[in-house]
Amino acid sequence: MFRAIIRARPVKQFVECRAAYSTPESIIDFVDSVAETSESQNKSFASLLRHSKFMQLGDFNGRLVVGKIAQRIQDDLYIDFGLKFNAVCKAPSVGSESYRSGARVLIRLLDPELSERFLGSNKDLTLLEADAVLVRLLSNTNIARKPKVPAEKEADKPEIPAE
Amino acid sequence: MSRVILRNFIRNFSSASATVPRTATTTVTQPDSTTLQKATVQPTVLKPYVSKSLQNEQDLFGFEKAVHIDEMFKARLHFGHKIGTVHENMKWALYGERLGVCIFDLETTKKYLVRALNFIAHVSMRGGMILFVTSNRDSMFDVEKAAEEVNQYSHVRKWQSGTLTNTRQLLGASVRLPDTIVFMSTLTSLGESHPAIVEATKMAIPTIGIVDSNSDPAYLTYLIPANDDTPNSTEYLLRLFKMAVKKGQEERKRQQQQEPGK
Amino acid sequence: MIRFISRRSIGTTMQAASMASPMSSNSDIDSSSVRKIGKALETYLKHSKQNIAMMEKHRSEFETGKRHLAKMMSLDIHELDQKAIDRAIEYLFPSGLTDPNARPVMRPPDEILPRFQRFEFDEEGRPEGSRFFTLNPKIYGLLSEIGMKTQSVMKFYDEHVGSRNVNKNDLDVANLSGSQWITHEKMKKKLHEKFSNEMYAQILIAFENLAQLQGSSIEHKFLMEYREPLTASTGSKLFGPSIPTVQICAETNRRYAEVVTHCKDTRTTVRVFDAGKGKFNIDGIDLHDFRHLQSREILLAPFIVSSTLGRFDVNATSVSISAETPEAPNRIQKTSIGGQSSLPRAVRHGTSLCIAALNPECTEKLRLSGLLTLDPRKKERSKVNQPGARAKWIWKRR
Repeated sequence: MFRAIIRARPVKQFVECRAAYSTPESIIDFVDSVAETSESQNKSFASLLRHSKFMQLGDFNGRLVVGKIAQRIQDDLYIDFGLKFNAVCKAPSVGSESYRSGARVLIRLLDPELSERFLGSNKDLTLLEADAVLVRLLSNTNIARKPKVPAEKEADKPEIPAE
Repeated sequence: MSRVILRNFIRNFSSASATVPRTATTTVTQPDSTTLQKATVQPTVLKPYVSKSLQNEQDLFGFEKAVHIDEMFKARLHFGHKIGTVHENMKWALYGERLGVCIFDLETTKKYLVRALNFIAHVSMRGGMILFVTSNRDSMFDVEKAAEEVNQYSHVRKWQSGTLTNTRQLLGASVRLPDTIVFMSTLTSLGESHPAIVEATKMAIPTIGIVDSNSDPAYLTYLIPANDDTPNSTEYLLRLFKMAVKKGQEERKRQQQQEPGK
Repeated sequence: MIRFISRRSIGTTMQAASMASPMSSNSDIDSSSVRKIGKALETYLKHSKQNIAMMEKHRSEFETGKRHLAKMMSLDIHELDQKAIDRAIEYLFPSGLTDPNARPVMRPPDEILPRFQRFEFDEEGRPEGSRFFTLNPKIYGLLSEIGMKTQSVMKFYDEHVGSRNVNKNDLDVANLSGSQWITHEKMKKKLHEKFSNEMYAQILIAFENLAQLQGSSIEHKFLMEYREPLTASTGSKLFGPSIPTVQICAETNRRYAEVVTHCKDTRTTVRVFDAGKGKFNIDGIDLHDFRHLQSREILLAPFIVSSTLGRFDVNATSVSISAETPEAPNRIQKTSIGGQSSLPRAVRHGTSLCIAALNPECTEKLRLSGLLTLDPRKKERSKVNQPGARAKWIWKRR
C-alpha cells in the first residue's frame, strides 16, 4: 500500500539536493518560496514533491524555519511556517508588542503535528497544531524582508535518512 | 450505493431536466416504477433515461484543464496527518509517508477532485441546492461566505440531529432538502464522523467529502482525498467549488434563454 | 421571492410557478413529466392553505362573538374594545383560579392560536437564506457577523497600531459603560426567532469577546445596537414594581418620581420630590399625625437607611383595593383604608422606590435592607363552616 519514497529515489539525487540547500538562506526563505509561483506548470507530483522544501528539510526535529504570524490571540502566537498546521507559541514578555500578525519570526521546529497515543486507543489523538519553540523576531509587517539572517544551528547540514 | 444515487438523480432531476434540451429520438423520459423498484437494477440499465449531457462521459465543463497539480501543491493539499492517526480506508489515496507525515498523491486527488467538481456543476446546472458543511472552526466564515456568494446553503454550526430526516418536526413543515451536501471537513472536533453524513445517506442525498488521512470515507459518495485543516487548502477548494457552481448556473441560464425560442 | 401562502390551488402550482418566473414562461412543456414543485413543497402548500382556512373561520367566529357580547353587556359594538371584552368576560365567567393563564379569555385568534411557520420560497421551492438548514438562521447569522467583526477588528488593530494616520480613539476598547447587553426576550424580539438560553449565553460570550478587544471602538455602533441603558431593566430584578423614571415638575422645576404600590388592602400612589424639607402629606395627614410610634418609624425607615432625612418631600394618596373590585355590585362599599401599619408600609415601599430613582447611589443599600421588595401578602379568606381563615369553632360534645 505504501510506497516508500525515499527508497525509490536514486542516491545521486540526494547529493544534488544537498548542494541545493547548502546555504542557510534557502531554509530561511521557506515560507516565501512555498507561496511563490513556479514555472512548473506541468511537472508531475512526484517531481514537485521531490524538489519541495518539505523534503529538503529532512528531519524536522530542531530545524530552524521561518514562519509568519497568522494570528495572535492574547499571548498565543499562531505561526504559519508552510506545513499543515500552525505552530502555537507564547509571545515573549520582552518586546511582546512587536509580535503581531503578519510579522516574520524564526522558530525551531520540534514536531509538525502534536499527536499522542493514549492507553486503550488504536489511533493517535492529534492536537491539530505543530510543536515549535520561538527563537526570535525576524522582521515586522511593514518592512519587506531582511536580506540575510545567519542561522544559529547547523541548518545547513540536514541529515539524510539512512536507507 | 451508485444505484441509489442514480435513482435519486433521476427522481430529482429528470423532472427538472425540462430545461435541458432533449433529443427528438427519446420518447420515454422516465423509467417505469417497476424498473426503479427492482433491487437488481443496474445503473447501466437506467442510463438511457438519464439526460443527454450525462451520457457522454466527457468533461463537459472542462475541469480537467482548470485543476493544476502545482496549484494544489502550493495550496498544501498533499499534507496529511501523522502516520499514527491514519484511517485504514484512506491508505489508497496516499503517496507515502515522509518521516511520519502522510502525503497524498495529488494525481489521485486531481482525478477525484475533477469528478466531484463535474458532479457539482451538473447538479448546479439542473438547479440543484448545494449545502456546504464544515465542522472546522477556522474556516467556517469562509465557507459561509462562499455559499452565500453562489446563492447556495451552508451549515457550519452544531448539527441538530434530524435536520434532514425530521424536518417536519423541526421546521413545522416539510421542506425541499438539499440535492448535494459538500463536506469541507468530515470529522467533528471529537474525531468522529459528521452526523450529517449518515443523515444524508438515509435521505439518499449524494455527498461530496474532503477526506483527510484520518477521516472515515464511509457513506460518502464523492471523495476528495486532501488536506482539510490548512486554511490555504480550504480556500483553494472553495474557490474551485464556487467556480463549478457558477459554471453550472451559467450553463443553466444559457439553456433557459435558448429554450423559449425553440 | 413570493410568499406561497397567497398562491392558488395545489393542482395549478405549476402554472403558478411559471406565472411567477419570467423565464419559464413556456407553457408548452408536457405537464405529465414536468413537475416543477416537489412533494415537500406541495405538502407545505396544503398545510398552509388549511391553516389559512382555519384562521379565517376563527376570525369570523370572534367577530360574531363580539357582537353577541356587546348585546349581552348592552354596549355599542364600537365601544367594545379589548379592555371592555376582558371586563365583560371577567364579569360573565368569574374565576377563582390563581393562574391568569388558566382563566377564560376572549382574544383575537391571531394572538392566541399557535402561529403557522411560514417560509419564504422562490419559484423552485428553494428556501430563502443561505443558513436555512442551520434551523436558526438569524441567530447563527448574528454569531457569524460577530465572529467576522472580531476578525476584522483584530486585523485592523494589528495593521494600525503605532501608525500615525489613524485616529487614536479607534484603537481603544469600545466604551460601553452605563449599558448592558439586551435581555434574552428582547433579543428574541429583535431577531424574530426563538432560541435557547444556552444559545443566548453563547452570543453574550461572543459579544464580550468582541467588546474587550483592542480597537473594538470601530464597531461601537454595531455593539450598541445590542445594548440598552443599565437603568432600563434593573426593575426586572426586583419583586414588585420597578424603580420609576425621574421626572421634572413643570411648575416648581423640581425632580420627582412617582410610583404606585400596594400593601395588604391598601393601594397608594407615592410621589417623592427632591430638594424638599422632609414634609409628609399622606391623604392630607402629616407624619406627626400618626399616633402610633410604629407607623412613624415605618415611614422614616427609607430615609434613615439611605441617610437622606429631610431631603425629600413625600406626597401620597391611598385607596382600598377591595372597594374597587367590580365583582359584587350589591355589596356594601368598604370605606376604611387599611390598618395601622399597612398604609405606612405601602407608603414606605413607594418612598423607597422613588428614593432609589432620585438617588441611585443608595439603590443597593435600600435593596439589601429589603425596602425595594413588594410585600405580596393578602388577607386569607375565611372558610365555610369556620369562623376565620384557619380558626375552627370550638368542638363540643352535644
